[in-house]
Amino acid sequence: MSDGGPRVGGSADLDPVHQDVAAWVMGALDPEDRATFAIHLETCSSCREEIRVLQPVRGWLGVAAPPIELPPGLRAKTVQAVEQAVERAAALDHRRRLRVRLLAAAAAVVLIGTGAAVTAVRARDPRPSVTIALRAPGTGTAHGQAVGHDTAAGWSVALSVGGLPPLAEGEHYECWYAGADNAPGHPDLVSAGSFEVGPDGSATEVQMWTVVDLKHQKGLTMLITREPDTNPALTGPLVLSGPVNA
Amino acid sequence: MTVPLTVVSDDDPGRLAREEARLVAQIAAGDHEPAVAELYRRYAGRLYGLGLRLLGDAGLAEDVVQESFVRLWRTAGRFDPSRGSVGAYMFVIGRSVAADVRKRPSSRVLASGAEVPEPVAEDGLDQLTDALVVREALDSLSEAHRQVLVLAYQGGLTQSQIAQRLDLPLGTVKTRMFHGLRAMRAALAERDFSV
Repeated sequence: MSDGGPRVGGSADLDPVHQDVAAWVMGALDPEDRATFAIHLETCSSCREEIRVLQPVRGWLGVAAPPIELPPGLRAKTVQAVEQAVERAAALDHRRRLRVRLLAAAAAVVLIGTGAAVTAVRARDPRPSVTIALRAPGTGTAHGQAVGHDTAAGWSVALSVGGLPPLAEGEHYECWYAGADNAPGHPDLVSAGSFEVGPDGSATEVQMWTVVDLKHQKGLTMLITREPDTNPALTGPLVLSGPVNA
Repeated sequence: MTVPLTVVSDDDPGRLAREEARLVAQIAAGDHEPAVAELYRRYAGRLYGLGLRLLGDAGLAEDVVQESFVRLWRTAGRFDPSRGSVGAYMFVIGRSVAADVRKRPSSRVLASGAEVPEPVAEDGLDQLTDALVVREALDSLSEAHRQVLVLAYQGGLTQSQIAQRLDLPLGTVKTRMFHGLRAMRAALAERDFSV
């Protein structure tokens, strides 16, 4: 035997006695091979070094967790969960950008519809406030109240609601201000913000801002609708409404 | 004349780390689909095993895997490869998700009727991680290599017994064990084990 031969990487030209180094480390040599390899080790420094290097690997093999079998549908579920998160984030981003545009439009007194409906004229009175009582349509028992204060930055509105049905995945409640001329096919409204309710159907002091003049604009109505997450238009059913400055 | 061995050495121990850091960067850049699929292939087993061991319920362990990948997607932009490997990052996420899942009221209901393992202590958690990563390294080997190593370390079989069991020539078993053990060393080194 010699330590001076060519170095190899493959097994084709590797002497079988060297290959037994792995089985030596693993304790898997047959008795006669073990005796032969023990003699070989006395003169082969490469094998002694190889044993030094491979011994810890044998140690780690002993601590390996049992084989793990993944449930068959888990990959698809995981991919779907990530996709849903991506879509939700995109929808929220879209809504955020749209809301900024709507507020900008309201500030410029550009309103949806034909006439001068929800006029966004800033209040001239010193810090007036409004209280809006919200009721469910028909015989519904849901209820709410919004209290608005005029501030230097616009109208700050604190909305509290109760008795609303729980939301399904991807839904939210949205608050709107509708002008006097708002009608099906003749929309005259602007979004004021969205919110969610707790398990008991209530939400307290949800803070929203608007530049619509809640004190002086005649015929304004606050609407609360239940909306899917992906559509910025008013598409959901009306759950609460009330006159802003009755 | 017999030909001496080349003592094993890793060609490029940082290869896996760089490759996985690129996958996370790909997710952060918005191209998440192929990267999530590849990282799922590599880490789902570890996360599922962690969830099973920490929560004792297969359904909750599935939640751990799903939520971990959602969090990876959300936080991919904050991953800093200079501070640790993707494997370590995934483990931190998985551990945090498992803690959150455990707090859910629905988890407590499930766990009350299930065989729940004893809570894993901090040092026990390290051992659990090691066990899961070694399993992952073992699973990354070819079936031919893994088979002979498992029969040797778990079954306590000698090479000739393995040859008999698998109906293979003894020389083939010797070759597979030699290359299998080297491949295992490389797989552990790639996963930051000092071997």
